Amino acid sequence: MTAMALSFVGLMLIGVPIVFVLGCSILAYLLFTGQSHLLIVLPQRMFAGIDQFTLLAIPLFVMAGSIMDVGGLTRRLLDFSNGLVGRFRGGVSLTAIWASFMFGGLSGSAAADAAALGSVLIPDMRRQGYDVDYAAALIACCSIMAPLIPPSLAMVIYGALSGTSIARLLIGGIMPAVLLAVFYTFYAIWIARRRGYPKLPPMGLAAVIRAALAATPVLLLPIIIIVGIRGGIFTATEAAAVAAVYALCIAGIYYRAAGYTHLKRAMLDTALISSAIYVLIAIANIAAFVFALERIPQMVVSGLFSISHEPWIVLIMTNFVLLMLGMVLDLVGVLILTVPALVGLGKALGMDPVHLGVMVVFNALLGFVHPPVGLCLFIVAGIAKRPMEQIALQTLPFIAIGILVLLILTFVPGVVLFLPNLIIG
Amino acid sequence: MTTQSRSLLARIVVFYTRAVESAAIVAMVMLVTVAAYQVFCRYVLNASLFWSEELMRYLMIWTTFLTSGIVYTRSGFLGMRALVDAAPTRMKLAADIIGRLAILTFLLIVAWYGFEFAIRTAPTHAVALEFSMFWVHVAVPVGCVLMALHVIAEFFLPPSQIRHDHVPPLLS
Repeated sequence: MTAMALSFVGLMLIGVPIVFVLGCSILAYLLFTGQSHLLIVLPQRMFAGIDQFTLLAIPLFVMAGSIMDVGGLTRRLLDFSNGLVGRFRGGVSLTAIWASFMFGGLSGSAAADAAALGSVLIPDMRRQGYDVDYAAALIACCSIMAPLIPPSLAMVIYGALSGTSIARLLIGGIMPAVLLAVFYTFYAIWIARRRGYPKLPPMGLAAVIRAALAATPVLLLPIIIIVGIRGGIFTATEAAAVAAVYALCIAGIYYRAAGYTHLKRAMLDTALISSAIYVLIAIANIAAFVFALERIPQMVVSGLFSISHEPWIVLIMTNFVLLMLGMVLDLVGVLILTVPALVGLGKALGMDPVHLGVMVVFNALLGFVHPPVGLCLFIVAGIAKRPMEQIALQTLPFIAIGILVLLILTFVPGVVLFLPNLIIG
Repeated sequence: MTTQSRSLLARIVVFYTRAVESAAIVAMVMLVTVAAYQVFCRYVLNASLFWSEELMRYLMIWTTFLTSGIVYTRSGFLGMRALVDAAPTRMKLAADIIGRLAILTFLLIVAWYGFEFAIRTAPTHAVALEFSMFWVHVAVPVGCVLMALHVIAEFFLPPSQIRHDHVPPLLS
């Protein structure tokens, strides 16, 4: 056990990719505890981990996003968002929040969201006199809404690792994302009032409707997924297949932007991104095996309960640990390490697995805007050409809002469960 | 001789990269086609396919392990680089060498046992597609050996030459 912990920490500190940190520590554990007869389990568990039909939603969702990600689509979302909220004080910042929200229904990837919107909106905001660090922080913090809205890879991975209904998880993330967007909006308006940021010229009703129509094909993607999995007509994987085909049709016919080269690129990106996730899940499955062997989940649960028997204190502590982990690991890393223990914890607390899943994913997402590994922070710092520390300072109020939403959804399960119960029943 | 062999090596690398990329593209097109066909058969024709799920699963598993080496070289596997990037060049170099050796050990052991696993399960057959499970399970050791080759390549190539073509922003 010590060998495993030591090699884990050591290899992580010297920058070895998380997936190999896990793999090497498991290897160290098996070798140093004299269980080398179990080595044959490594390939067998790796294979079993990814030989699941539900996981196929990952390549299909990635494919839908990659195909739709053609120049012009982001612009349409921005126009529509501008038509809705641009007329208010702090117009561009509000446009950024709601465009980011809608973009989540396109890609489900926070990094893609931050890169696509940041490259357009950060220069825009700079031109209108916004503080650049604030603009970059806003874009980064908005991007974490993307993985909460279907299609969401994070939810598929959590569902596959924990055996929770992926369809319910996908829909359960929507309300927390809405809350986040609404609270961000209030904060952005308050900042804009205080600093005197400009409004955008109001668009006429006709122009708003035109912008809405232009954006409709993009906005339909998440709706197709939701309608598809409603009442179990489709499995999540089949809904993902429909989404991918829909994206192909839209990009090919409607926007006439999907050239042969672009499609090839999208397919290759899909393969590479999915491959990276699949390898992680494969190795996570060995980790789950070793954790079970060592009864780590039970130890974590009884450890938490030995501190307090009050469920709310246990929940607060769980959230705290997850936030800390999110600071040093990326989302998949957090999920892989914690899901085995969390499932046991959820059972001990009598929590709904979907509620628990959304809470965990939300927690891990906040890590994207935290130094030192905040991926989205890196992306916006690169676009804004500003030091990360300055931007990180500006993200603090947004992170506080994120934690507020986290507390709400932790203690009011209805916020998460209302929509899945309504739509799926 | 060295220049000639180097150019031969370069050509092999280019050929390998193209071949894997093309195979991945074909696999993804097949994946979405089969997925769409399955949905069509099940909901429009009301006649479910018996082979589609299995084919899709194995297609994705092979794609994963075939491309995993390329994913490694293009920094598709994230790690905590903050500390190493802040360290002096020599310490960074040492850390990278230790890290790579650890990764190599892991990959080669998994490859070894993965091959044994594939041979042991060779007599069993896929449920619907009816070929030997060897051909599916051997994807694991093949992928590990490919990744190991990419890790070894990092020892010889200057950092500017690897990690050129990035894997697009991952998930999350």
